[in-house]
Amino acid sequence: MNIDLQIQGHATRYVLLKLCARGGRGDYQAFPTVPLGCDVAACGRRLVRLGVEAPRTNGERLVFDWRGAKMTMFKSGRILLEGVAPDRAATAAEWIETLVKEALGERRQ
Amino acid sequence: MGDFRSLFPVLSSGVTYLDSAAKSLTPSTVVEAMNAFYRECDAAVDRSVHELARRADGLLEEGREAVARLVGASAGEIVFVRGTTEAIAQVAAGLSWKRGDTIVTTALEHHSNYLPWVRVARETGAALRVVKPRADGLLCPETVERVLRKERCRLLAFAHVSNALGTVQPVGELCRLARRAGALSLVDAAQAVPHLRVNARELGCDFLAWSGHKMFGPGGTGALWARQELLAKLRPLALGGGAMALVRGSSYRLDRQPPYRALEAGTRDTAGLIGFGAAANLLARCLEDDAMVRAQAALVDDTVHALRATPGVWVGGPDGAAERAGIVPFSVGGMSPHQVAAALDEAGILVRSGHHCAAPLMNSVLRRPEGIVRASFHWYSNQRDASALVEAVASIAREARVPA
Repeated sequence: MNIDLQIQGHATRYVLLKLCARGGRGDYQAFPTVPLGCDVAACGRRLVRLGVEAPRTNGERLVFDWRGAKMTMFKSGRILLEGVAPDRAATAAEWIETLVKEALGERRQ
Repeated sequence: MGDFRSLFPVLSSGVTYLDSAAKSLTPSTVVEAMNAFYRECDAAVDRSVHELARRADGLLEEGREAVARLVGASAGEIVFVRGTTEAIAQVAAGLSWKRGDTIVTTALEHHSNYLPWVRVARETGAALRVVKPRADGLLCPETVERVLRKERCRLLAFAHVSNALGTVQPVGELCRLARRAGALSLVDAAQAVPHLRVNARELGCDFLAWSGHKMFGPGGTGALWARQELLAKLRPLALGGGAMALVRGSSYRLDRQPPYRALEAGTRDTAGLIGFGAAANLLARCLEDDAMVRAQAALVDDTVHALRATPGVWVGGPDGAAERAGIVPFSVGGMSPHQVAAALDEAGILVRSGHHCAAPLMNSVLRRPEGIVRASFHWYSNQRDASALVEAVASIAREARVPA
Protein backbone atom coordinates (compact mmCIF):
# COMPACT_ATOMS: atom_id res chain seq x y z
CA MET A 1 0.00 0.00 0.00
CA ASN A 2 1.42 3.39 -0.97
CA ILE A 3 1.08 6.55 1.15
CA ASP A 4 1.94 9.80 -0.66
CA LEU A 5 3.15 12.71 1.45
CA GLN A 6 4.83 16.08 1.03
CA ILE A 7 8.04 16.15 3.06
CA GLN A 8 10.34 19.16 3.09
CA GLY A 9 8.62 20.37 -0.06
CA HIS A 10 9.17 17.11 -1.92
CA ALA A 11 6.67 14.46 -2.86
CA THR A 12 7.61 11.39 -0.83
CA ARG A 13 6.09 7.98 -1.08
CA TYR A 14 5.88 5.66 1.89
CA VAL A 15 5.29 1.97 1.21
CA LEU A 16 3.41 -0.04 3.82
CA LEU A 17 4.13 -3.79 4.04
CA LYS A 18 2.79 -6.47 6.30
CA LEU A 19 5.51 -8.38 8.13
CA CYS A 20 5.61 -11.99 9.26
CA ALA A 21 2.49 -12.55 11.39
CA ARG A 22 2.80 -13.38 15.08
CA GLY A 23 -0.03 -15.33 16.62
CA GLY A 24 -2.99 -13.11 15.81
CA ARG A 25 -1.07 -9.86 15.98
CA GLY A 26 -0.16 -7.93 12.87
CA ASP A 27 3.16 -6.18 12.34
CA TYR A 28 3.78 -3.71 9.57
CA GLN A 29 6.70 -1.76 8.18
CA ALA A 30 6.37 1.59 6.45
CA PHE A 31 9.35 3.08 4.69
CA PRO A 32 10.01 6.02 2.42
CA THR A 33 11.17 5.03 -1.05
CA VAL A 34 14.07 7.48 -0.54
CA PRO A 35 15.70 7.51 2.95
CA LEU A 36 14.95 10.76 4.80
CA GLY A 37 17.73 11.27 7.37
CA CYS A 38 15.47 12.17 10.32
CA ASP A 39 16.54 13.64 13.65
CA VAL A 40 14.67 11.05 15.69
CA ALA A 41 15.03 12.98 18.97
CA ALA A 42 13.36 16.02 17.38
CA CYS A 43 10.67 13.77 15.90
CA GLY A 44 10.01 12.45 19.40
CA ARG A 45 9.56 15.98 20.79
CA ARG A 46 7.04 16.81 18.07
CA LEU A 47 5.11 13.60 18.62
CA VAL A 48 4.53 14.55 22.26
CA ARG A 49 2.23 17.28 20.89
CA LEU A 50 0.14 14.51 19.37
CA GLY A 51 -0.30 12.88 22.75
CA VAL A 52 2.55 10.35 22.48
CA GLU A 53 3.75 9.66 26.00
CA ALA A 54 7.42 9.43 26.85
CA PRO A 55 8.98 8.55 23.49
CA ARG A 56 12.41 6.92 24.06
CA THR A 57 15.44 7.37 21.84
CA ASN A 58 19.05 6.28 21.82
CA GLY A 59 19.87 8.57 18.92
CA GLU A 60 19.47 5.79 16.38
CA ARG A 61 15.84 4.88 16.91
CA LEU A 62 12.74 6.38 18.44
CA VAL A 63 10.45 3.98 20.29
CA PHE A 64 6.97 4.88 21.49
CA ASP A 65 3.51 3.44 22.03
CA TRP A 66 0.63 4.43 19.82
CA ARG A 67 -2.90 3.17 20.37
CA GLY A 68 -1.74 -0.11 21.84
CA ALA A 69 0.94 -0.79 19.25
CA LYS A 70 4.72 -0.44 19.61
CA MET A 71 6.22 1.97 17.09
CA THR A 72 9.90 2.24 16.16
CA MET A 73 11.10 5.07 13.95
CA PHE A 74 14.56 4.97 12.37
CA LYS A 75 16.70 7.82 11.04
CA SER A 76 15.90 6.75 7.49
CA GLY A 77 12.21 7.45 8.17
CA ARG A 78 11.39 3.74 8.33
CA ILE A 79 8.69 2.99 10.90
CA LEU A 80 7.88 -0.41 12.40
CA LEU A 81 4.35 -0.90 13.74
CA GLU A 82 4.19 -3.95 16.02
CA GLY A 83 1.01 -5.28 17.57
CA VAL A 84 -1.58 -3.92 15.15
CA ALA A 85 -4.38 -6.37 14.31
CA PRO A 86 -3.31 -8.56 11.36
CA ASP A 87 -6.02 -7.39 8.98
CA ARG A 88 -5.76 -3.66 9.67
CA ALA A 89 -3.51 -2.37 6.91
CA ALA A 90 -5.79 0.64 6.36
CA THR A 91 -5.54 1.55 10.04
CA ALA A 92 -1.77 1.19 9.92
CA ALA A 93 -1.65 3.47 6.88
CA GLU A 94 -3.75 6.12 8.67
CA TRP A 95 -1.42 6.00 11.67
CA ILE A 96 1.64 6.39 9.46
CA GLU A 97 0.13 9.42 7.77
CA THR A 98 -0.75 11.02 11.11
CA LEU A 99 2.56 10.26 12.77
CA VAL A 100 4.83 11.19 9.88
CA LYS A 101 2.90 14.41 9.32
CA GLU A 102 3.39 15.37 12.95
CA ALA A 103 6.94 14.06 13.37
CA LEU A 104 8.22 15.81 10.27
CA GLY A 105 5.76 18.71 10.29
CA GLU A 106 4.36 18.10 6.83
CA ARG A 107 0.99 17.47 5.18
CA ARG A 108 -0.44 14.89 2.91
CA GLN A 109 -0.89 15.78 -0.78
CA MET B 1 34.85 -23.10 -8.87
CA GLY B 2 36.62 -19.83 -9.66
CA ASP B 3 35.02 -16.63 -8.45
CA PHE B 4 31.70 -18.19 -7.51
CA ARG B 5 30.22 -14.95 -6.14
CA SER B 6 30.62 -13.24 -9.51
CA LEU B 7 27.85 -15.53 -10.81
CA PHE B 8 25.35 -13.60 -8.66
CA PRO B 9 24.67 -10.12 -10.07
CA VAL B 10 22.86 -8.89 -6.94
CA LEU B 11 26.00 -9.28 -4.84
CA SER B 12 27.79 -6.61 -6.89
CA SER B 13 25.58 -4.02 -5.14
CA GLY B 14 27.54 -4.70 -1.93
CA VAL B 15 24.66 -6.02 0.19
CA THR B 16 25.27 -8.66 2.83
CA TYR B 17 22.60 -11.13 1.84
CA LEU B 18 21.69 -13.53 4.64
CA ASP B 19 18.09 -14.34 3.75
CA SER B 20 18.78 -17.32 1.50
CA ALA B 21 16.45 -19.64 3.42
CA ALA B 22 13.60 -17.48 2.14
CA LYS B 23 14.97 -16.99 -1.39
CA SER B 24 18.41 -17.83 -2.65
CA LEU B 25 20.02 -15.48 -5.10
CA THR B 26 19.78 -16.36 -8.77
CA PRO B 27 23.01 -16.89 -10.70
CA SER B 28 23.51 -15.43 -14.16
CA THR B 29 23.67 -18.98 -15.59
CA VAL B 30 20.07 -19.58 -14.48
CA VAL B 31 18.90 -16.19 -15.76
CA GLU B 32 20.60 -16.96 -19.08
CA ALA B 33 18.93 -20.39 -19.34
CA MET B 34 15.51 -18.77 -18.86
CA ASN B 35 16.28 -15.96 -21.28
CA ALA B 36 17.45 -18.46 -23.88
CA PHE B 37 14.06 -20.15 -23.76
CA TYR B 38 12.26 -16.88 -24.51
CA ARG B 39 14.81 -15.85 -27.13
CA GLU B 40 15.10 -19.16 -28.96
CA CYS B 41 12.08 -21.41 -28.47
CA ASP B 42 9.24 -19.49 -26.86
CA ALA B 43 6.47 -22.05 -27.33
CA ALA B 44 4.03 -24.18 -25.34
CA VAL B 45 5.41 -27.60 -24.52
CA ASP B 46 3.69 -30.96 -24.98
CA ARG B 47 0.98 -30.17 -27.46
CA SER B 48 2.53 -28.98 -30.69
CA VAL B 49 4.32 -30.73 -33.51
CA HIS B 50 6.33 -27.70 -34.58
CA GLU B 51 10.01 -27.04 -34.23
CA LEU B 52 9.92 -24.45 -31.44
CA ALA B 53 7.70 -26.67 -29.28
CA ARG B 54 9.99 -29.63 -29.86
CA ARG B 55 13.00 -27.60 -28.73
CA ALA B 56 11.12 -26.30 -25.70
CA ASP B 57 10.09 -29.87 -24.83
CA GLY B 58 13.70 -30.96 -25.03
CA LEU B 59 14.88 -28.21 -22.69
CA LEU B 60 12.09 -28.85 -20.21
CA GLU B 61 12.84 -32.57 -20.04
CA GLU B 62 16.57 -31.86 -19.67
CA GLY B 63 15.56 -29.70 -16.70
CA ARG B 64 13.51 -32.56 -15.24
CA GLU B 65 16.48 -34.90 -15.61
CA ALA B 66 18.79 -32.43 -13.85
CA VAL B 67 16.32 -31.96 -10.98
CA ALA B 68 15.92 -35.75 -10.68
CA ARG B 69 19.70 -36.36 -10.68
CA LEU B 70 20.05 -33.94 -7.79
CA VAL B 71 18.09 -36.30 -5.51
CA GLY B 72 19.28 -39.56 -7.05
CA ALA B 73 15.98 -40.14 -8.86
CA SER B 74 14.83 -40.76 -12.39
CA ALA B 75 13.01 -38.10 -14.41
CA GLY B 76 9.79 -40.14 -14.43
CA GLU B 77 9.51 -39.78 -10.67
CA ILE B 78 9.58 -35.97 -10.65
CA VAL B 79 6.43 -33.86 -10.70
CA PHE B 80 7.02 -30.20 -11.42
CA VAL B 81 5.07 -27.96 -9.05
CA ARG B 82 5.15 -24.31 -7.96
CA GLY B 83 7.10 -25.07 -4.81
CA THR B 84 7.17 -27.13 -1.62
CA THR B 85 3.80 -25.76 -0.52
CA GLU B 86 2.10 -27.05 -3.65
CA ALA B 87 3.96 -30.36 -3.52
CA ILE B 88 2.70 -31.05 0.01
CA ALA B 89 -0.79 -29.80 -0.85
CA GLN B 90 -0.80 -32.25 -3.76
CA VAL B 91 -0.01 -35.17 -1.46
CA ALA B 92 -2.57 -34.06 1.14
CA ALA B 93 -5.28 -33.70 -1.50
CA GLY B 94 -4.10 -36.65 -3.54
CA LEU B 95 -4.33 -39.45 -0.96
CA SER B 96 -7.67 -40.72 0.23
CA TRP B 97 -8.35 -40.27 3.94
CA LYS B 98 -10.93 -41.67 6.28
CA ARG B 99 -11.94 -41.60 9.93
CA GLY B 100 -9.58 -43.81 11.86
CA ASP B 101 -6.49 -42.72 9.91
CA THR B 102 -3.79 -40.95 11.88
CA ILE B 103 -1.38 -38.38 10.51
CA VAL B 104 1.73 -37.59 12.52
CA THR B 105 3.60 -34.34 12.05
CA THR B 106 5.76 -32.18 14.32
CA ALA B 107 5.67 -28.83 16.07
CA LEU B 108 8.73 -27.80 14.04
CA GLU B 109 6.98 -27.62 10.73
CA HIS B 110 6.58 -24.73 8.37
CA HIS B 111 2.86 -23.96 8.06
CA SER B 112 2.90 -25.53 4.59
CA ASN B 113 3.66 -28.92 6.17
CA TYR B 114 1.32 -28.40 9.09
CA LEU B 115 -1.87 -26.72 7.93
CA PRO B 116 -2.62 -29.21 5.11
CA TRP B 117 -2.75 -31.96 7.75
CA VAL B 118 -4.87 -29.84 10.08
CA ARG B 119 -7.32 -29.42 7.22
CA VAL B 120 -7.30 -33.09 6.23
CA ALA B 121 -8.02 -34.03 9.84
CA ARG B 122 -10.79 -31.46 10.13
CA GLU B 123 -12.47 -32.48 6.88
CA THR B 124 -12.14 -36.27 6.99
CA GLY B 125 -12.19 -37.16 10.66
CA ALA B 126 -8.61 -38.43 10.55
CA ALA B 127 -6.63 -37.86 13.73
CA LEU B 128 -3.64 -35.52 13.80
CA ARG B 129 -0.80 -36.03 16.25
CA VAL B 130 1.88 -33.37 16.66
CA VAL B 131 5.23 -34.49 18.05
CA LYS B 132 7.24 -31.90 19.98
CA PRO B 133 10.96 -31.66 19.30
CA ARG B 134 13.61 -30.80 21.87
CA ALA B 135 14.26 -27.09 22.35
CA ASP B 136 17.19 -27.26 19.92
CA GLY B 137 14.80 -28.59 17.27
CA LEU B 138 15.94 -32.21 17.22
CA LEU B 139 13.23 -34.84 17.04
CA CYS B 140 13.72 -37.78 19.34
CA PRO B 141 13.18 -41.01 17.31
CA GLU B 142 11.93 -42.84 20.41
CA THR B 143 9.19 -40.24 20.90
CA VAL B 144 8.18 -40.45 17.25
CA GLU B 145 8.12 -44.23 17.42
CA ARG B 146 5.86 -44.20 20.48
CA VAL B 147 3.34 -42.02 18.65
CA LEU B 148 3.56 -44.07 15.46
CA ARG B 149 2.88 -47.32 17.32
CA LYS B 150 0.06 -46.01 19.44
CA GLU B 151 -2.42 -45.61 16.62
CA ARG B 152 -2.84 -46.74 13.03
CA CYS B 153 -0.63 -44.15 11.40
CA ARG B 154 -1.04 -43.52 7.66
CA LEU B 155 1.55 -40.80 7.24
CA LEU B 156 4.51 -39.25 9.01
CA ALA B 157 5.22 -35.74 7.64
CA PHE B 158 8.28 -33.81 8.80
CA ALA B 159 11.01 -31.44 7.65
CA HIS B 160 14.50 -32.76 6.97
CA VAL B 161 15.89 -29.36 8.04
CA SER B 162 13.92 -26.91 10.20
CA ASN B 163 13.29 -23.68 8.29
CA ALA B 164 13.48 -21.66 11.52
CA LEU B 165 16.30 -23.35 13.44
CA GLY B 166 18.32 -25.12 10.74
CA THR B 167 18.24 -28.37 12.74
CA VAL B 168 18.97 -31.47 10.62
CA GLN B 169 16.79 -34.44 11.57
CA PRO B 170 17.81 -38.11 11.57
CA VAL B 171 15.67 -38.46 8.49
CA GLY B 172 16.66 -41.99 7.46
CA GLU B 173 15.86 -43.31 10.91
CA LEU B 174 12.51 -41.53 11.05
CA CYS B 175 11.51 -42.88 7.62
CA ARG B 176 12.45 -46.40 8.73
CA LEU B 177 10.27 -46.03 11.81
CA ALA B 178 7.35 -44.91 9.66
CA ARG B 179 7.75 -47.82 7.30
CA ARG B 180 8.01 -50.29 10.19
CA ALA B 181 4.72 -48.88 11.54
CA GLY B 182 3.10 -49.34 8.13
CA ALA B 183 2.98 -45.59 7.45
CA LEU B 184 4.06 -43.50 4.49
CA SER B 185 6.63 -40.77 5.08
CA LEU B 186 6.69 -37.32 3.55
CA VAL B 187 9.88 -35.28 3.87
CA ASP B 188 9.78 -31.51 3.45
CA ALA B 189 13.24 -31.02 1.98
CA ALA B 190 12.91 -27.31 1.17
CA GLN B 191 15.84 -26.38 3.43
CA ALA B 192 17.74 -29.65 2.98
CA VAL B 193 18.19 -29.96 -0.77
CA PRO B 194 20.02 -26.61 -1.05
CA HIS B 195 22.64 -27.61 1.54
CA LEU B 196 22.89 -31.39 1.86
CA ARG B 197 23.47 -34.33 -0.45
CA VAL B 198 19.97 -35.77 -0.56
CA ASN B 199 19.15 -39.10 -2.14
CA ALA B 200 15.42 -39.79 -2.04
CA ARG B 201 15.73 -43.57 -2.22
CA GLU B 202 18.51 -43.78 0.34
CA LEU B 203 16.47 -41.70 2.78
CA GLY B 204 13.75 -44.32 2.48
CA CYS B 205 10.93 -41.79 2.26
CA ASP B 206 7.82 -42.07 0.13
CA PHE B 207 7.43 -38.40 -0.79
CA LEU B 208 10.08 -35.69 -1.00
CA ALA B 209 9.10 -32.05 -1.60
CA TRP B 210 11.32 -29.07 -2.29
CA SER B 211 11.47 -25.66 -3.99
CA GLY B 212 13.55 -24.20 -6.78
CA HIS B 213 13.74 -20.71 -5.30
CA LYS B 214 15.87 -21.81 -2.33
CA MET B 215 18.45 -23.55 -4.53
CA PHE B 216 19.44 -20.85 -7.09
CA GLY B 217 16.22 -21.31 -9.11
CA PRO B 218 13.41 -18.88 -9.85
CA GLY B 219 10.33 -18.42 -7.67
CA GLY B 220 7.29 -20.51 -8.54
CA THR B 221 9.24 -23.68 -9.25
CA GLY B 222 9.57 -26.85 -7.23
CA ALA B 223 9.39 -30.60 -7.32
CA LEU B 224 7.60 -33.51 -5.76
CA TRP B 225 9.39 -36.85 -5.86
CA ALA B 226 7.49 -39.99 -5.06
CA ARG B 227 7.79 -43.66 -5.78
CA GLN B 228 6.16 -44.37 -9.15
CA GLU B 229 3.42 -46.56 -7.72
CA LEU B 230 2.40 -43.75 -5.35
CA LEU B 231 2.49 -41.10 -8.07
CA ALA B 232 0.21 -43.30 -10.14
CA LYS B 233 -2.40 -43.25 -7.36
CA LEU B 234 -2.40 -39.56 -6.42
CA ARG B 235 -5.57 -37.68 -7.25
CA PRO B 236 -4.51 -34.53 -9.14
CA LEU B 237 -5.06 -31.07 -7.64
CA ALA B 238 -6.17 -29.83 -11.07
CA LEU B 239 -7.50 -31.32 -14.29
CA GLY B 240 -6.92 -29.94 -17.74
CA GLY B 241 -4.60 -29.66 -20.68
CA GLY B 242 -1.83 -32.20 -21.04
CA ALA B 243 -3.03 -34.41 -18.19
CA MET B 244 -5.78 -36.37 -19.90
CA ALA B 245 -5.67 -39.61 -21.88
CA LEU B 246 -9.31 -39.39 -22.91
CA VAL B 247 -12.20 -36.94 -22.62
CA ARG B 248 -15.56 -38.09 -23.91
CA GLY B 249 -18.74 -36.34 -22.86
CA SER B 250 -18.68 -36.18 -19.09
CA SER B 251 -16.19 -39.02 -18.71
CA TYR B 252 -12.44 -38.76 -18.75
CA ARG B 253 -9.35 -40.78 -18.07
CA LEU B 254 -6.08 -39.40 -16.71
CA ASP B 255 -2.85 -39.90 -18.62
CA ARG B 256 -0.60 -41.71 -16.14
CA GLN B 257 2.24 -42.48 -18.53
CA PRO B 258 4.58 -41.25 -17.24
CA PRO B 259 2.84 -40.92 -13.85
CA TYR B 260 3.74 -37.24 -13.41
CA ARG B 261 1.76 -36.26 -16.49
CA ALA B 262 -1.63 -36.49 -14.76
CA LEU B 263 -0.34 -34.22 -12.01
CA GLU B 264 0.88 -31.41 -14.28
CA ALA B 265 -2.30 -30.13 -15.89
CA GLY B 266 -2.18 -26.77 -17.63
CA THR B 267 0.65 -24.68 -19.01
CA ARG B 268 3.57 -24.52 -16.65
CA ASP B 269 6.21 -21.86 -16.23
CA THR B 270 8.43 -23.49 -18.82
CA ALA B 271 11.20 -20.89 -18.62
CA GLY B 272 11.19 -21.10 -14.84
CA LEU B 273 11.41 -24.89 -14.88
CA ILE B 274 14.26 -24.76 -17.38
CA GLY B 275 15.94 -22.35 -14.95
CA PHE B 276 15.20 -24.81 -12.12
CA GLY B 277 17.10 -27.44 -14.11
CA ALA B 278 20.06 -25.10 -14.64
CA ALA B 279 20.01 -24.35 -10.93
CA ALA B 280 20.08 -28.07 -10.12
CA ASN B 281 23.18 -28.52 -12.27
CA LEU B 282 24.99 -25.67 -10.49
CA LEU B 283 23.92 -26.87 -7.04
CA ALA B 284 25.14 -30.39 -7.82
CA ARG B 285 28.61 -28.94 -8.52
CA CYS B 286 28.61 -27.14 -5.15
CA LEU B 287 27.53 -30.27 -3.27
CA GLU B 288 30.25 -32.33 -4.95
CA ASP B 289 32.94 -29.80 -4.03
CA ASP B 290 34.25 -30.97 -0.66
CA ALA B 291 36.12 -27.71 -0.06
CA MET B 292 32.91 -25.71 -0.52
CA VAL B 293 30.98 -28.07 1.76
CA ARG B 294 33.61 -27.73 4.50
CA ALA B 295 33.78 -23.94 4.09
CA GLN B 296 30.02 -23.48 4.39
CA ALA B 297 29.78 -25.67 7.50
CA ALA B 298 32.66 -23.77 9.13
CA LEU B 299 31.12 -20.40 8.25
CA VAL B 300 27.82 -21.27 9.90
CA ASP B 301 29.50 -22.87 12.92
CA ASP B 302 31.84 -19.89 13.44
CA THR B 303 28.89 -17.50 13.24
CA VAL B 304 26.96 -19.50 15.83
CA HIS B 305 29.91 -19.45 18.21
CA ALA B 306 30.64 -15.76 17.67
CA LEU B 307 27.02 -14.77 18.30
CA ARG B 308 26.78 -17.04 21.34
CA ALA B 309 29.77 -15.20 22.78
CA THR B 310 28.08 -11.80 22.25
CA PRO B 311 26.49 -10.35 25.41
CA GLY B 312 22.72 -9.99 25.16
CA VAL B 313 22.35 -12.38 22.23
CA TRP B 314 20.46 -15.67 22.31
CA VAL B 315 21.25 -18.24 19.61
CA GLY B 316 18.96 -21.21 19.00
CA GLY B 317 19.34 -24.56 17.29
CA PRO B 318 21.69 -27.44 18.01
CA ASP B 319 25.31 -27.24 19.18
CA GLY B 320 26.89 -29.62 16.69
CA ALA B 321 27.82 -28.31 13.24
CA ALA B 322 26.68 -31.61 11.67
CA GLU B 323 23.19 -31.09 13.08
CA ARG B 324 22.73 -27.64 11.54
CA ALA B 325 22.37 -26.61 7.90
CA GLY B 326 22.75 -23.05 6.71
CA ILE B 327 20.60 -21.30 9.32
CA VAL B 328 21.53 -19.23 12.39
CA PRO B 329 18.48 -18.30 14.53
CA PHE B 330 18.98 -15.61 17.16
CA SER B 331 17.46 -12.74 19.09
CA VAL B 332 18.73 -9.71 20.96
CA GLY B 333 17.55 -9.00 24.50
CA GLY B 334 15.38 -5.91 24.84
CA MET B 335 14.49 -5.69 21.16
CA SER B 336 11.85 -7.36 19.04
CA PRO B 337 13.05 -9.52 16.13
CA HIS B 338 11.62 -7.01 13.64
CA GLN B 339 13.51 -4.16 15.36
CA VAL B 340 16.74 -6.14 15.09
CA ALA B 341 16.15 -7.03 11.45
CA ALA B 342 15.28 -3.43 10.59
CA ALA B 343 18.40 -2.16 12.38
CA LEU B 344 20.50 -4.71 10.45
CA ASP B 345 18.84 -3.63 7.22
CA GLU B 346 19.82 -0.03 7.96
CA ALA B 347 23.41 -1.37 8.06
CA GLY B 348 23.02 -3.20 4.74
CA ILE B 349 22.65 -6.67 6.27
CA LEU B 350 19.58 -8.52 5.05
CA VAL B 351 17.99 -11.11 7.33
CA ARG B 352 14.46 -12.24 8.14
CA SER B 353 12.47 -11.86 11.35
CA GLY B 354 9.22 -13.08 12.87
CA HIS B 355 7.61 -16.49 13.14
CA HIS B 356 9.04 -17.82 9.85
CA CYS B 357 5.67 -19.49 9.20
CA ALA B 358 6.37 -21.78 12.16
CA ALA B 359 3.95 -20.54 14.82
CA PRO B 360 3.70 -23.90 16.67
CA LEU B 361 7.48 -23.93 17.10
CA MET B 362 7.64 -20.31 18.32
CA ASN B 363 4.72 -20.63 20.72
CA SER B 364 4.87 -24.14 22.12
CA VAL B 365 8.54 -25.16 21.81
CA LEU B 366 10.74 -22.06 21.90
CA ARG B 367 8.19 -20.02 23.86
CA ARG B 368 9.17 -16.94 21.91
CA PRO B 369 5.85 -15.51 20.77
CA GLU B 370 7.66 -12.47 19.37
CA GLY B 371 9.51 -14.80 16.97
CA ILE B 372 13.21 -14.81 16.20
CA VAL B 373 15.72 -13.38 13.74
CA ARG B 374 17.09 -15.77 11.14
CA ALA B 375 20.37 -15.33 9.28
CA SER B 376 20.66 -17.88 6.51
CA PHE B 377 23.73 -18.72 4.49
CA HIS B 378 24.22 -20.19 1.03
CA TRP B 379 27.04 -21.27 -1.22
CA TYR B 380 27.88 -17.66 -2.16
CA SER B 381 28.09 -16.50 1.49
CA ASN B 382 31.57 -15.70 2.73
CA GLN B 383 33.54 -14.73 5.82
CA ARG B 384 32.93 -11.04 5.17
CA ASP B 385 29.17 -11.63 5.36
CA ALA B 386 29.54 -13.51 8.64
CA SER B 387 31.84 -10.88 10.17
CA ALA B 388 29.55 -8.04 9.10
CA LEU B 389 26.61 -9.81 10.77
CA VAL B 390 28.44 -10.54 14.01
CA GLU B 391 29.81 -6.98 14.31
CA ALA B 392 26.45 -5.39 13.55
CA VAL B 393 24.57 -7.65 15.98
CA ALA B 394 27.13 -6.86 18.70
CA SER B 395 26.65 -3.16 18.08
CA ILE B 396 22.84 -3.46 18.13
CA ALA B 397 22.99 -5.51 21.33
CA ARG B 398 25.15 -2.81 22.95
CA GLU B 399 22.71 -0.10 21.87
CA ALA B 400 19.81 -2.17 23.16
CA ARG B 401 21.24 -1.86 26.65
CA VAL B 402 21.03 1.95 26.36
CA PRO B 403 17.48 2.96 27.33
CA ALA B 404 15.52 3.78 24.22
